[in-house]
Amino acid sequence: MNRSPACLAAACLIAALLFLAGFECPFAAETSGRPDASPVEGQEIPDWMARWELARVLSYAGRHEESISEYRKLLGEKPDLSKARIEMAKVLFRQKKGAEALGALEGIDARQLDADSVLLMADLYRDRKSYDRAAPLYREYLEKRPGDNAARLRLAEMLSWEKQYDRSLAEYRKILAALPGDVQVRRKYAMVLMWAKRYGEAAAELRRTLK
Amino acid sequence: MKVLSFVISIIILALATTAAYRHLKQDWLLYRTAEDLSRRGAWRQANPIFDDLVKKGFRTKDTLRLLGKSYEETGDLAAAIEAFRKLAAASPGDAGVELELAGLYDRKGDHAGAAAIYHALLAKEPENRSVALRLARALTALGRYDEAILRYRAILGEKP
Repeated sequence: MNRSPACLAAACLIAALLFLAGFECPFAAETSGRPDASPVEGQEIPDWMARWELARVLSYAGRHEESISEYRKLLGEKPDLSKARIEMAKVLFRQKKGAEALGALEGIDARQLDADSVLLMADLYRDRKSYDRAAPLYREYLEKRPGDNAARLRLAEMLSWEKQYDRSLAEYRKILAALPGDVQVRRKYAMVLMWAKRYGEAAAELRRTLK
Repeated sequence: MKVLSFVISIIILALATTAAYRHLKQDWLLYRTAEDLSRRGAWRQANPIFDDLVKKGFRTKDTLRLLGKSYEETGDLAAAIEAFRKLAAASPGDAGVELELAGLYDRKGDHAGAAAIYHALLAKEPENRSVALRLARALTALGRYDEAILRYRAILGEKP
């Protein structure tokens, strides 16, 4: 029992030292800074990811054939990578391989297509004269990007080729509302009015382009 | 009675030592405060404390790292880079610090600065795919596509 106060004193001393030691910790940790200073983090990069990036860079460099080859290897390994399939379709389109581009896009769930891909698909169907398939895609695209007058013009032209004059003229009017001073569009509009046998209106529109 | 006096003197000694520590080691106490703030994500409050500490010459590696991190978290990438450059100078050969610095250069859009660091790291560790990939990305961002393509092919173990 007599030793209890001594024990208490020793405990106090140890507590005080530990308290102080707590502040000293940063000194001990000073040398490292990171738990693991090795740069090996992220070593486990999958090949397919590197190949995807390679395919993209090849397309940026204009090496389209090599890019397509890498995309094909990638999609052989990861067939569900819709984004990669869309990118490959765009490269194929640039290579004037419309049928292959369309084939690549047709294999994708339509809900996964972004606006640019929908437009690309619409253009590809238009080029192949599959107007009935192109039209809904143009409309879908223009719902997302109503201000894209170039795309709307392609739809308007296509509708006029299909003799859907009223629909075509409606699209032309939207374009002209946005671009009233565009003489070329107005002349095209006038041509469709003529095909629709609305000669008076066509003449008035043509006259406006000559002022 | 003697024992009691001994106990009291020990307690007084402990308290006096603690008080002296708090007085003499104020920087460490400030560091601890800022470190605690940063751990809780309060980077904006931690930043001026780290900044003051470094200006006063309290340049431990952890302080420099947390200063850089606090600048990074509060969106001042230039100041973050400066802090990490000081840290890199104080930690020669610490590849982790170099990687963090290169990452900041990339984020700031200085891909040439980042690429230089990645090149140096790869020279030391040629098999490091992570660094090779970062270099390939930096080269791509710089428009040096042909070099990037070579790097990607090397990552994939393909001949150019």
